[in-house]
Amino acid sequence: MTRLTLGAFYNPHLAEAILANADQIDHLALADAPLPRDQWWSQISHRFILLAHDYLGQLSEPLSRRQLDRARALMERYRSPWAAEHLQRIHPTPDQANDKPDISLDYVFPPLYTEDLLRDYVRNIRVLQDNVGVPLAIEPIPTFFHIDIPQMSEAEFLHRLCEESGCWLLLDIPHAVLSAYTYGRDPASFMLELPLHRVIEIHVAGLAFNADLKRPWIAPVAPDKNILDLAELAAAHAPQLKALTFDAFSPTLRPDTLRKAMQLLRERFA
Amino acid sequence: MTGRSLHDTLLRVLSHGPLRAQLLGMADKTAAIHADEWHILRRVPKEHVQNMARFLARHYYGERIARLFRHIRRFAPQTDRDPLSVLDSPRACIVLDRAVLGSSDTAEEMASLLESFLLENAAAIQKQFPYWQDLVRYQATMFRLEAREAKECATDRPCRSETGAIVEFEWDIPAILLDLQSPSHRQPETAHRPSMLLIASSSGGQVISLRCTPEVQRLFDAADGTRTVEELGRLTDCSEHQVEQMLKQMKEVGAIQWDDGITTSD
Repeated sequence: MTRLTLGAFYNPHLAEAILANADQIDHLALADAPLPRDQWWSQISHRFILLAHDYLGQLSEPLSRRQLDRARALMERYRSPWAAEHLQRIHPTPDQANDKPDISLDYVFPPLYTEDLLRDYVRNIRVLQDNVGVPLAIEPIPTFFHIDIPQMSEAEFLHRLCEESGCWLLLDIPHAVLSAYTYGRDPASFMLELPLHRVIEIHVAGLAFNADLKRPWIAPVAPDKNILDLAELAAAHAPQLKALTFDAFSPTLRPDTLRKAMQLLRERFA
Repeated sequence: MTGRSLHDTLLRVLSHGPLRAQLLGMADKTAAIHADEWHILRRVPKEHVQNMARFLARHYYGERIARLFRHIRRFAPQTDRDPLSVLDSPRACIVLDRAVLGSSDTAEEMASLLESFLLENAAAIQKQFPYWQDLVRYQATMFRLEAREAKECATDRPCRSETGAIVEFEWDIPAILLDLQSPSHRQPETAHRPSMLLIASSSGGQVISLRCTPEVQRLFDAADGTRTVEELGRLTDCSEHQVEQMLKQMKEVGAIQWDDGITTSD
């Protein structure tokens, strides 16, 4: 059985703290490529398993040759054992004339769970997966709106996405909790309906009240007991699970928060 | 109507304040959206749409402020003016609620708020960091330029782009930035000399600044889309080859628009 690795996101402003706590951290997920001026990158890249979690492209649209080449190059650069991308839709269908979207939210946002979008995601995930040459893990994004149209449940959409595209799942526990909140569901029972047998990585993080949304939302804080309990439950149903990551990528993340989160993960999962 | 067309409309509504105001019935104009999508989105609780839109706008501009005002942010412990805190002000909330994400108009509104916050009643800060005003102006220029879009201009006559600007400073901004990045940061009194920078945003969305020579300034000012490379050479006292080289660099960084397909064979 493969050992479960525990890790965090690489926040360049915390490079020193990450290196100082290297015995607590097995892997680092990379949301952005390191900057050329990053003086710590050499040590970081040699010390940890690296997981590519950069934005590769919006998978409801066909990826361009340039995006596919970049994705492959990132996997090779990091020697990432799998690729990850969000199940998101942050910009509308690009204008056919110049192939550029007119707007982008620049923040994760879930698609609608409709047949037409499922078909598009499946097709484009297959292409990306073939291109990168490693498993592709898809991370669902929390649902916020009830849109009154015929669509699948999030769980059904994810089951079909995994079956029809061959992709894996990156289960973010706070995302699942927030979706369950939107649906008025119990988080544990909602989570157990997801295709946990396809989960290869789990993200944990904290939640905090968000003044704009007037409800809890993702925050760069350490996971609480509920999140860790749910992560433990998901892990028990995820035979392919290989990594558990403290998902906080923010310039406001503090070294003590990172240390605390890694300590909590170690206590539960090491 | 498809799931895609509905989602496209939802994304537009969330990112476009005036369009959202139409959807939510707060504006008089007739909706320019296909009726089916409009009808469905009107059934989403107003408050949810407004809350998510404000959240997204706050994140959008927060990311840009953190990145493009990063040098100013380093001083926050001493100045007590973290540019990110602007987003918590009532005036910023008004801007966020009517924002068109990525537009130059919203960037202008936000940049003005940032400048007011950082520069008003800042005599004590200016005394402690005498280049404060220049640094704010430098970062605000980057913030504005990133949101600008070059107008289509495929001509063999070079033309200044909307995404480029030349700015003169009282202080040597590149020297100050270099000093800020060094671990042994000290007050760079020696950098009190004028500097002139070409600041531009490329089509890839990267904003960069380059030290600008008087020749580059003359060329940038003269490149109004009516003059050939040869004419620009005469006006700037440079050889045609020099002008071409400078124009290519300026085009690469997004300061100049120029269809140089017929002139790059050398």
